Amino acid sequence: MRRDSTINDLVARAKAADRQALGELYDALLTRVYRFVYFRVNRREDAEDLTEQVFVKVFEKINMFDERGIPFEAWVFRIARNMIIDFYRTHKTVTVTLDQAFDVPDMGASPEECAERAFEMDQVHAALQSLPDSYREIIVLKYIEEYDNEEISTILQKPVSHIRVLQSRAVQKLKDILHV
Amino acid sequence: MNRSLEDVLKTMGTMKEAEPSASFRTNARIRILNSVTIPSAPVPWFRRINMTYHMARWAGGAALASLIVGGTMVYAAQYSTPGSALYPLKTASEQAALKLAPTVGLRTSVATTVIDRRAREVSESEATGSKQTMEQAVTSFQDTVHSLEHTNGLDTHEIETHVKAAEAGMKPSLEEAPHQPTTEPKRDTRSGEDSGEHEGTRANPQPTLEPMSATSGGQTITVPTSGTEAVEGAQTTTESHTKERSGSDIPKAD
Repeated sequence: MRRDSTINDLVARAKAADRQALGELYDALLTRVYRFVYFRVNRREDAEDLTEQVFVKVFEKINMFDERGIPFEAWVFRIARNMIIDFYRTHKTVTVTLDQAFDVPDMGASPEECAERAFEMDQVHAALQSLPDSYREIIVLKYIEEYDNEEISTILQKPVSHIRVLQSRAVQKLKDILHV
Repeated sequence: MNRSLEDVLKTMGTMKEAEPSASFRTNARIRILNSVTIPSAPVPWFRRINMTYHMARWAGGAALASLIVGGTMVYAAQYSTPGSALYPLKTASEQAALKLAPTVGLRTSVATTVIDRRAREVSESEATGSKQTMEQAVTSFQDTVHSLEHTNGLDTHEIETHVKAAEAGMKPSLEEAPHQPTTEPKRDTRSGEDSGEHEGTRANPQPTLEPMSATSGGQTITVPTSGTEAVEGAQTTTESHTKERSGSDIPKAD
């Protein structure tokens, strides 16, 4: 977890109703929270709605956050996770689009390479959406958000050994879907 | 798939689709910050004290100094004598120790130590030769005894024994005391009753030893009770008793 003293300072200021600190916290965490939500709900509109709701909830409950407990970022991800679970409860059918167009960032690759990468990501993304939610969650946290097992254990409130097993099964399942 | 699955997954985070749009970023920020109302956090009492760093340092220093001074005073008070300025502190610390002792045994131990202290103060005041000091010491002793009599959770027998021993050691001082303690009559009455019983036992220490006797062939055989040799009076009693019995009580066989 990014145990950033800046984040802790911002949280302390935000607790004292400093709106500027709230804004800075939003800027610091938005991309990660949005990405986490997006890969779980797979729809930009839903991801935006949920992300906004997550931040509103985080800021309203910020005084309940205890610095001596888990890191702030993990606390935010826990809230996001719970809100995604609620979202799934209310939206029983989640649309899985297989033909999404990805805008691949240009990393100096040729147009052919870019097309190849876009195709790969398209395939993996589609496979990811067909995974059970617990597997998808762990893949997003581990490979996309790049948290280590201990950090994931804090967010998901499960033992590290359990995380390791879950992660291994999730990757295997994904490989099975992709036939790799 | 040309790349490994892990590599593909890692680059998925860079997908433009997986990043919030600039318009969402800006608009959501405004909406969120406008809608959020942060309830004021409950501030602990010690944080409500608006102190600067230097003020806190001075306050901490003052607290430490008062702790040291207080501790030294309590320590010094342990050597104070009745009538001195620190003497009330000494008795107060004793009372506190008595109240804080968790078990009857410990409390009794503290109480006997306090009695010993008072008795020592009386004997030390005798040595000074000052009548006033001696009176104060005796009064303090009596007050302590009175207070202990009314303290619950003490081994009363041990306390009484200790008080008696202490009083015995300072009999002249108690007699010279200007007034008799308010509690003395009560305790005396009780101890009088007790001592009456005990005295009675002590005044007549001869045990009622019945010799084991049997009659055989017109003669009375008396077996002295074991241990009677050690008690002279008891032996005498046994002998006279045997004589008496052999003479009259026990019928002779025909």
